[in-house]
Amino acid sequence: MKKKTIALIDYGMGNLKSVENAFQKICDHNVVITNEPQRILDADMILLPGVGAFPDAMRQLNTLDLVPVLDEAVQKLRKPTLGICLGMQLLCDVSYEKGVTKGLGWIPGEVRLIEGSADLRVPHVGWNSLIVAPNDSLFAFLRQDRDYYFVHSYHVQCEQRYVLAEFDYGNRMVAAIKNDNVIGMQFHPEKSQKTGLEALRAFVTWANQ
Amino acid sequence: MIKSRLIPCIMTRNELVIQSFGFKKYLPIGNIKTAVEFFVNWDVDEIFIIDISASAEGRAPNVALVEWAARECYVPMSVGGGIKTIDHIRDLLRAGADKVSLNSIVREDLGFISRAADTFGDQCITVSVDVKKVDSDYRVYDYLSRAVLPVSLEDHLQAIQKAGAGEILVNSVDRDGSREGYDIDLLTKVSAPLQIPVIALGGVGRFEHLSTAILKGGCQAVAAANIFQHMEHSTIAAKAQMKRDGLNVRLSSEVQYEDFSLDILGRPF
Repeated sequence: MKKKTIALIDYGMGNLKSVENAFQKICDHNVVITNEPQRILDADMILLPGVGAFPDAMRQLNTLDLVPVLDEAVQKLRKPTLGICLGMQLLCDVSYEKGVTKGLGWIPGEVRLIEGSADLRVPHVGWNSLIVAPNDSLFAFLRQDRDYYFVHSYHVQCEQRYVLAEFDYGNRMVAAIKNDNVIGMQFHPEKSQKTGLEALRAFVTWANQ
Repeated sequence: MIKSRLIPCIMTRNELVIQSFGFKKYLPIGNIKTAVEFFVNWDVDEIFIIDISASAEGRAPNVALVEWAARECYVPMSVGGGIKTIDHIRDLLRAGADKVSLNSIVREDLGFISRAADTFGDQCITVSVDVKKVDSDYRVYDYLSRAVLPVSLEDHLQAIQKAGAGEILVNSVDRDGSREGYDIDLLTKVSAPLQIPVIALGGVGRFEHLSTAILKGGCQAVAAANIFQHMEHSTIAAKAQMKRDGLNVRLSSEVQYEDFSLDILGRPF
């Protein structure tokens, strides 16, 4: 059987190497770091990493003319897709980071600054546990009793039906989202040790089906 | 709930791990690869790798080393030393670093923080500030010129926060390598007026010192360097002590020291 291919989207903003390392550790799919339209359309699953600022990320995607090809791969061809950290925020409709920027719009939601306090500083950085939505047995891989690594100043706000898991940082905030074939994780599974690798393995298992 | 973070700082001169004493004396320890391999499996929450001689020697960051270290590093890795350009940061992130730590460039050009944060996000930019006590006053220290700056520490920190830094690593020059514990007075002065997280560094001589930076100093994370280079499982034992001190920490390793006491050198028994 032909090896499956994961397209790790290279738009100049991701911690590509870390994500690639993690996927090579947990599965034997081909991980291809790419921004070539054909390779993206040929891939079996799509990974949208992201470290950076939302407006720059969208500008980069537009400069590389990747939005139409990603739309086709994700919306039309329904390829299983995972956005990580900023990559998850890009899945939403709009962000208010440094102005107002339109996102990819695959999951209805908005990205807003975390309101901090003396005790709860921004960025939200460190290991935090999850509050897992009880109704999604498919995603039982997100463990309530384990910690995941977060580092972000902005967070996603969306309807509860898209929420897979939340975290507590003064208020409940969104840790993971899903809409059909698209999943987002605000934390960094590739940097959350074994617990994070388990989450990635579960994504691949789900995507394989 | 968010956990209190424990961060080993691997101080290096290029690829040689060293212990630092008062920013003056340096003891070579060994190869960096060995240090990284151990720490990633010892329950740490992040790893800082800081090359203290890169800027002094005009070297660019060692991207190949970061690429190597990232291969088996499934915890966040911050890299500092020799960062002078936006491309340096891009290269380090591409190689597998998650964050960068800026030091001397900030004193040359505060605007560099903003440019870096605009491109890579605030959360990616840690600014490392060295502080020296002069008479009874805390002053910003420049390790390259070995002199304190003619600015107030608080103004400097506020300017760094305003420029868009995501985090501040505060290192006490006087406590560096002293084993006396953190300078709690300094940590409080640094941490209280800021809204971004503060990481404490400098002076840890026993694992009991770690929690004081959070419980008394108001910091969000604790870092240490020399102490972790002394024994096997050092960071795991440190976490056990932090837990005993009442902090909420992440314990994920199969190695556990919860039921052990620590002797004067911090060795479990």
